[in-house]
Amino acid sequence: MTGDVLTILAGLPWTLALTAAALALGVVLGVPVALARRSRLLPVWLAAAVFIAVTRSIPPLVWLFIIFFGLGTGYIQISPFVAATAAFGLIATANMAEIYRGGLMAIQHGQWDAAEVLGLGRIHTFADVIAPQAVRVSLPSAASYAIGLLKDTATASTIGVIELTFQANQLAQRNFSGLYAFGIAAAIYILVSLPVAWLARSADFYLRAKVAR
Amino acid sequence: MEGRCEVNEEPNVPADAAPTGPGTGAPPMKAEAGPGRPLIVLDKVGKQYGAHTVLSGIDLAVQPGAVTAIIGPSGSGKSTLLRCINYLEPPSSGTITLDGIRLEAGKPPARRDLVALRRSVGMVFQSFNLFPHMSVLRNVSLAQERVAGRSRREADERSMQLLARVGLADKAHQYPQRCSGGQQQRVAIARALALDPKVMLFDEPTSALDPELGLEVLAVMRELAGSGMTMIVVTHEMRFAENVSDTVLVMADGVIVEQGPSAEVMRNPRQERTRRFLRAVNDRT
Amino acid sequence: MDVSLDDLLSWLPDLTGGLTISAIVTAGSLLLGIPLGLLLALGVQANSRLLRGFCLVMVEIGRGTPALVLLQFIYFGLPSAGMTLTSYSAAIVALACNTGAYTSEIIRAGLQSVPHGQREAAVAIGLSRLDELRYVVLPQGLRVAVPALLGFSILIFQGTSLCFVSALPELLSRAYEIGSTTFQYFPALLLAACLYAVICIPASILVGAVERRAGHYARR
Repeated sequence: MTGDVLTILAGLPWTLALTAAALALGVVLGVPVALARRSRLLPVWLAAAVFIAVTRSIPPLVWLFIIFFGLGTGYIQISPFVAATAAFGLIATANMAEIYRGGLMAIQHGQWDAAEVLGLGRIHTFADVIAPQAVRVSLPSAASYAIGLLKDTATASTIGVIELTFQANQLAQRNFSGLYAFGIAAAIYILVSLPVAWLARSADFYLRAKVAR
Repeated sequence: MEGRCEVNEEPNVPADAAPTGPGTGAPPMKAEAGPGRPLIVLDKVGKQYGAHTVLSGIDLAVQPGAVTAIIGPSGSGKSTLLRCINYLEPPSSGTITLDGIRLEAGKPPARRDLVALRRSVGMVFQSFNLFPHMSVLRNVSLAQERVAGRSRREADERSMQLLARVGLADKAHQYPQRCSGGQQQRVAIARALALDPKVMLFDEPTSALDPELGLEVLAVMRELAGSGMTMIVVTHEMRFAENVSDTVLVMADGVIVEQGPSAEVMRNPRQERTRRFLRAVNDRT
Repeated sequence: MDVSLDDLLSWLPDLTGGLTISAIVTAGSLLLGIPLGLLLALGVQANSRLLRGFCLVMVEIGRGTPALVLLQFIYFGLPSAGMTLTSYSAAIVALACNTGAYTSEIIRAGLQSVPHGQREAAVAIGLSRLDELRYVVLPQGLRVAVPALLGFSILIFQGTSLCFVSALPELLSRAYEIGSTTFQYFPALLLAACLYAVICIPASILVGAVERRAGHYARR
């Protein structure tokens, strides 16, 4: 039994790596997209809105296939992990952009007024006043999303990324023990999301004090 | 320098100044010899939101060092007027001249003018609007560093002076949420003073505070007025309007209904609208 | 991309066939899953500790397990325990369990948003708990939950793409098949993606509109 658990656990680093890579892409790239979404220039706003809508309306698995099988067969050589990172990174960007947008909308209007009246200018207003508060407000949603992303990475197993679900699948096929293998995988997913949820809750509690209510 | 508020310094008073000061009914203290050149002039200022007219035909001249109170029922456009003066809301019509900077309705101001305007005018809001994610000290220092280009040490030194002036030097390292409403508003005043403005605008500074906390803020405002700062205060505090300000403006339905020395307007109002408003305010038991 | 418009058009019937299956599976999962979610939402607030605990565990498992793993568990795993399900039923059961777990949280939030004063009033006029639920709490609580439930339904529709692994001939697997026979993976998958987008984007806009109207309701 432990042998099997360990076999499946061998996929965990890949699951975590994929989640972290995609999340990093989303956290960083989501910022310009969120700002573009709030732009007053029509083409910029439209491009961002279309990007977000299209990316979120297509299922992750379809994106995976488009990048891995679509681009990968004939256009460019691409490994399963890279394809998966690209696909989930794309989706994470769109979702984080929406989360940031929600965070920005949650900031009291008076903060913008106060910054304007002090003459802070757009860059300093964002950097010193708005962004720190937006980050704190967005944290709970971002944490939920991260946990969801962790589970979504299971679909990467279909294109051959050797993460948790892939390992479970292999084991199931080898030993005809699907119930057991997938049960273990499910348990691992549940156990892994627990510390992340707890961390998010404590961070939220600590940072909650530092936002204008 | 006219009406400029220096911390820890007596304002420049010419030797031949008549006994003046807010509330004595005498002409406002002018710290500059010669004909009083108004610091702020509003000429037929109006503001519309779509079809809805909030302000119309506002004419106003404010002398340096004068304390002007604006009173009136809600919806009369008082806050909008204040927000037009420092261009938080662009006026729909008319001209605003402030410390030599000219703002015309319909023509967005040059960036340089806007920057100069922001440094000349300080504003204090009803809901304080302190930055919750930084300490009190940092709240007061931030704009000094970013806008006035002071070094952190200079800025912090100045901030501590201002905080001491409003009586909150010991709260410098606290976060705003740990301070009472009255304390937060005093920090907001210090923050607005940090850029050495020539004019201070107050938008109902005590309306969000319970009466006792309001007193501490009014005391700071009184000290500020006494030191020669040009102030425009939108307020419901009738005693302040009567005793501390030099001029009172009464607004209703977007126009100035009555304007004049505070003692006269508050005790012997000439307009019926003013009388009605003051009756409602004073007859509250 | 050397594929003609005619080729694309020739693939459409096949793809729309897959789309129909995706839609049917979505409907089935929601029809089973949302009532399940309601039961779990009520169970999680039950008086009996045993029931509460059991429902909580079910919800956590349903939410903590990736839908794909749940599907594989049911389709590949259950046969060894004697229960063999067709790809259709496995798909519906797996997605229904997923739906039940997630919607139980949505419904629970909706039920809890009914002001406490309403429940006190119901008790004061002597309604039984069941009647209180039926006449006071559920009508208002479910209405609050509707926008979120609609949003979730869109996600379930997208989730049917996972049933690729259980050999369900839904939209994605049709596209993949076309790709593997013609080697035109990219256009086939893009076309399938377009079909998903064409359904999900208007649906999301509609849900947004419902959310705003529901907001107006709540403010009354």
